[in-house]
Amino acid sequence: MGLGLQATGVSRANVNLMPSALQTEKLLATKRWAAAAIVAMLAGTVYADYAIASSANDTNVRLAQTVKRYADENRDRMSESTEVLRLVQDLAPQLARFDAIGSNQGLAHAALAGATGIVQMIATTPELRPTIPAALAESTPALQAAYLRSVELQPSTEGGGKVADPFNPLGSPRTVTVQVDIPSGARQGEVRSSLLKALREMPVPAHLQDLTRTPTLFSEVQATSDIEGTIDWWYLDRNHLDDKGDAKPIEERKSLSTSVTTYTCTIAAPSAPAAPVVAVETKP
Amino acid sequence: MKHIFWIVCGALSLLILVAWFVVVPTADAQSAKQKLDQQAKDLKDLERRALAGNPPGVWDAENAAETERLSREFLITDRWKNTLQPHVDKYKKQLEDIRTQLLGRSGWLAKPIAPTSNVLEWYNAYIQASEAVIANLRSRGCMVAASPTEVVSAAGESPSNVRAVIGLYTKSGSFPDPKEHPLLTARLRVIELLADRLIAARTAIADNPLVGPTGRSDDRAGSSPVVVSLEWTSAGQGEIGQTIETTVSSLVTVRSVGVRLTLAGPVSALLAASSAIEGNTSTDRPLLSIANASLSKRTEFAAGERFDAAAEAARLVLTINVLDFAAVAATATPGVN
Repeated sequence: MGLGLQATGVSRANVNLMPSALQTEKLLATKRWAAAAIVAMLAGTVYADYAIASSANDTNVRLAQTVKRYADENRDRMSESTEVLRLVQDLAPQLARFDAIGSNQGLAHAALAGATGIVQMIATTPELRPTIPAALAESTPALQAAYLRSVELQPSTEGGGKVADPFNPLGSPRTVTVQVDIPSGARQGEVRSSLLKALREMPVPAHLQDLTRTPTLFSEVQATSDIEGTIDWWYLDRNHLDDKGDAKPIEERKSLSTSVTTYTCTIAAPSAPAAPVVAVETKP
Repeated sequence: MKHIFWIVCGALSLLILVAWFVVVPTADAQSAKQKLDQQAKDLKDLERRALAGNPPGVWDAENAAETERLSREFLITDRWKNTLQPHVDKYKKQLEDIRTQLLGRSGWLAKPIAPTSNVLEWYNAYIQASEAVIANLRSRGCMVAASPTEVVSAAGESPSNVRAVIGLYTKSGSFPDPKEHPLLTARLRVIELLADRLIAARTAIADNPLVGPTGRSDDRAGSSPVVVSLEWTSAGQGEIGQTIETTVSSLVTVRSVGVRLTLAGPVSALLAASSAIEGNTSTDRPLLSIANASLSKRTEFAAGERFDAAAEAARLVLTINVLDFAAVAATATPGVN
């Protein structure tokens, strides 16, 4: 039946009666070209890849060498300038450090003279002078509005008894204590507040402006204590005549009631960096 | 061996694949490419800096960040050397000048009193020099005048209590050992230095037409800052001074000779004295620094003492550091010479 169907062409005769080993052998024999082609293509691909990569690499290396050569040449050309620049960088700060030796001077004198001057100015202001007490009326010149008792610039707060850096007197805030006798009377409060205001507004001397970097010498002023006190002195009049016209020298101890006001003033440690003092004009 | 062809083809394929991974320079190429990319960036940076031209204006050479910015934003060329070299030369000269001046200032403290190691000769010279200071101070009203009962030795030496007022040494037994001469020399020089400044302050007041030669005689007499005491502080036994930490410690070793000076007189005279002491106007004398100061008015007055603004008697206590830069030669300005 099957042969009949094959013979009539209804069904294809695809049965191969040849053994499979022989079939494989035959296939291998006929497809050798394919194997050779694969090997050739593989070799061609590897070669192309190698050639392209090598070429790019060579180009890159050549360019890198060129860039490096230019960079080296440039570095050589600027080496001397760089060395000089390094010296500037090294020497300028050294030089600047020595500025401290000059700019530190005069702080103590400024504090003493400044506070003394303020007290003297207030003391001799006519509107602030007190009226002379009746007990003293005959024997005293015009009283001052204030009498300086003391001014003290406290030492720098250096620990362990160490000597503070003399070239950096404002390494830490400094305290100036001003004690003033203000005669008792109606104007006492006004004198006290005038002193406070004047101390707060006291300008920093020009030679210390680099050191303090503030417009006023004291950054903070407070009246920290106020106690009762007296000023004593001896009144002497060797030429005094009594009512009868006889010579009767006067030698009397006089006393004036005051309030001793203490002002605590702070000279702040500067926070901003110092202005440059070593500058170089860079335009060649 | 009928499949030898296929075996050879397989082996060849394997060989080619191995060669692909081994021979083709993938890693080198990547590395070269990366290096090139980096160099290209550097080149562009150089170009950018070159196009920026010269830095405008003034450059703060003390500021390291500013210098860093300068070399980052502008191309350093060989022309920079011509611009910078004069400044470097100037800096070197200034540092050398500072070094010389500081050494010269400190040299004063070690200036020999007498070129001898003989203790008798040396002490006689010391007496002569120290008595000259006392006489000078007294003649200018800066030290209390000698009392009628004051006894001066045959060698011309004032009593020890008088000499001690201004911090002078007086021998009590044997002559000072030569090892003590440097200390005594330095202290005498400090006393001379302070005396010179007090007298200068006195002279400045005397030259003032308000209180000077044409002023009232008692004003003139009362316008001197009078030495009440001079004490040596802040040094160990036998030491001239102590080494201190300063702003310039990395460049210069500084030694401080500590002195506490107490003066009396009118406020104006005392303020003039503090100004003169702190002034440091001469360049051949040691630097003086006032660590702290106290000005206080006397609150007690003896019978007959005047009480007015012109005669206000006060006391000024100054804690002074006399600075010695003797070690400057060894440590200052590295790399300058």
